[in-house]
Amino acid sequence: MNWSFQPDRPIYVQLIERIKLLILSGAYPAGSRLPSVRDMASEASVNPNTLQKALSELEREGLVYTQRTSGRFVTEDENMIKQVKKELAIEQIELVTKKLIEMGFSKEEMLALIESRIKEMK
Amino acid sequence: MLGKLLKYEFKATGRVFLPMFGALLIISVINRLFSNLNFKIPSIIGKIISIILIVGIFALTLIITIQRFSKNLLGSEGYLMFTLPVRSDSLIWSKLITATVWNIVSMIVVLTAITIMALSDISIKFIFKSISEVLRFLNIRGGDIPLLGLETVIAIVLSLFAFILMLYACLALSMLVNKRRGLCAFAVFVIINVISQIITSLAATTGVLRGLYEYVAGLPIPRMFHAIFVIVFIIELIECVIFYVLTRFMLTRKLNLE
Amino acid sequence: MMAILQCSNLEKTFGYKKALSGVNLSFEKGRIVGLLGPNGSGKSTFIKLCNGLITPTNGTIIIDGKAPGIETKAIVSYLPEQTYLNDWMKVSDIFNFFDDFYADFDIARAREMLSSLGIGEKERLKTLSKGTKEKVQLILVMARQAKLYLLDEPIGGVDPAARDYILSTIIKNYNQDATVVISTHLISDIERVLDDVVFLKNGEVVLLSTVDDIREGKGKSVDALFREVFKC
Repeated sequence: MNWSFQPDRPIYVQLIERIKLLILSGAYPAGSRLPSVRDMASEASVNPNTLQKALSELEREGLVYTQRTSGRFVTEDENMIKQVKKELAIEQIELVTKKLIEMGFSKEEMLALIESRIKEMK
Repeated sequence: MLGKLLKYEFKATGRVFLPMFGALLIISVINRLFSNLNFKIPSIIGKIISIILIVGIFALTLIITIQRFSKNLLGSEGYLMFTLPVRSDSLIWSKLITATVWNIVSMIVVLTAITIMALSDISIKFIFKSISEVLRFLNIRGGDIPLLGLETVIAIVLSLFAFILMLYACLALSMLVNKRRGLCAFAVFVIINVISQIITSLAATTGVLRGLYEYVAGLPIPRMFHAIFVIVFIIELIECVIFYVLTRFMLTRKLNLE
Repeated sequence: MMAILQCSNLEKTFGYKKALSGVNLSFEKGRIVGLLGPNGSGKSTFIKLCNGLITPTNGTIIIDGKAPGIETKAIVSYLPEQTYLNDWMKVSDIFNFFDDFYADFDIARAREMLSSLGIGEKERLKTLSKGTKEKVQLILVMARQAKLYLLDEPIGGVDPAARDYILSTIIKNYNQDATVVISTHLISDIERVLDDVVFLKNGEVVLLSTVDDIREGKGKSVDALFREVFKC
């Protein structure tokens, strides 16, 4: 895991995003047990307190939960993961479309461009 | 904690001393065989080797006494030694006791080696006979011998303590400079010796002490020896205290590791 | 919360030169603190004062309620800039040495860390390369369950792979209730492992903050801020 961070934002915010991505992508599957804070922090070379803060935030959002004796787990609620995934996707799409509209693209042009781009990627 | 420090101090030094002692004792036994068998040339070579070893052991004892203090405490190893949960006193004592023991053992080993080699020429009986003649000449009777022996041992240990502590004080004082510490320690050594020479000669010429000398010189023989030993003890103890306090002050207040 | 290390009005002069002056600091338990400043800013002097290697000219240091001495040395784990390993011991000997003198030394953990690096216990310290010696020293220091770790320039002059090993070893092994103080002038490498930072400039504290506060409040990394404060 080579985690790099942007210089201008708090690290715990970036950690939340990173772990969220790992959950959504299935790297940490639904219901699976997360590594201990210390192991995760050591592997990513980040401060354990900062990581703890990020995980608490994720816990508050419901993506992970703690079982008193056996550690921290990814939520078993796959719908919730899908929901979060969708929200994140919408967020990204909105960013892109906003920019493209600024550049003067019409809705049809945007769709066509995205479609052809996806085909090329295959 | 002093016990643990002593354990490691003996480990660090023993691995150098023990092979040297072993070599000298083995060479002495071989020498003895050569001279018994009348092998002229091997016997001469053996004697040269043993003389080199004897000189080597005395040089080594001095070098290790200095090095265990300067390298282990004042060099980079000092970063480990001075952050151990032990008192500075324990550090000094562990070095001092170990060095004193090795100095005494070196002397015993060398004496043993010489005895082994000389055994064919002079018999042990002759040595004992000479000693008892000297004692009779000095008018010392059997009853005084244990006490005088004990006093001799104490005098040897105390003067070794004083000498080693003086070396430590010289080395510790060299921390006041940042370069050429070896040279500085040597300079301090010379200065301390000059000062103690001056004090001794001043003491000899002052009236009060002359009175003491005359008093001691007038005592009957066994009591005169006891009195001389007491004076030696006091002088050595004063030296020990001065050099110990100086060393301790430098290590606790003026530590300046390389 | 009780502070593990507290110093007030700390001052140290060498001859005429002021190495530290007017330093007031308090480190809480469970934090990783970066002691940041260019060479000669007083970082090592501060750490040596905390270790009792030197004594303050003025002011006080209190570690776990006591002035530096035997009791604090038993709970402080110190990694100096220099390698202090002697030339006659084997790795196993120095492990036993630590086990003898420090009640909090976890020899099993030290052995584990050693074998994960592929270093043999029977190897002589004398024959180890400089980089390996530094790693052995890091193992000795981090295998202690200390209350305060004082690491003086642990990543100075090492390659990136060694730096990653050092940082992850520190994070994986330090006692969770303990405070870790890391002094360095290489901030970008270490910023992400720190809770708090102290900027030292010419022997004085010029900034004391948490990493998050700097990033959130100023919108820049600690490294960028450091470059601003210490611009030549």
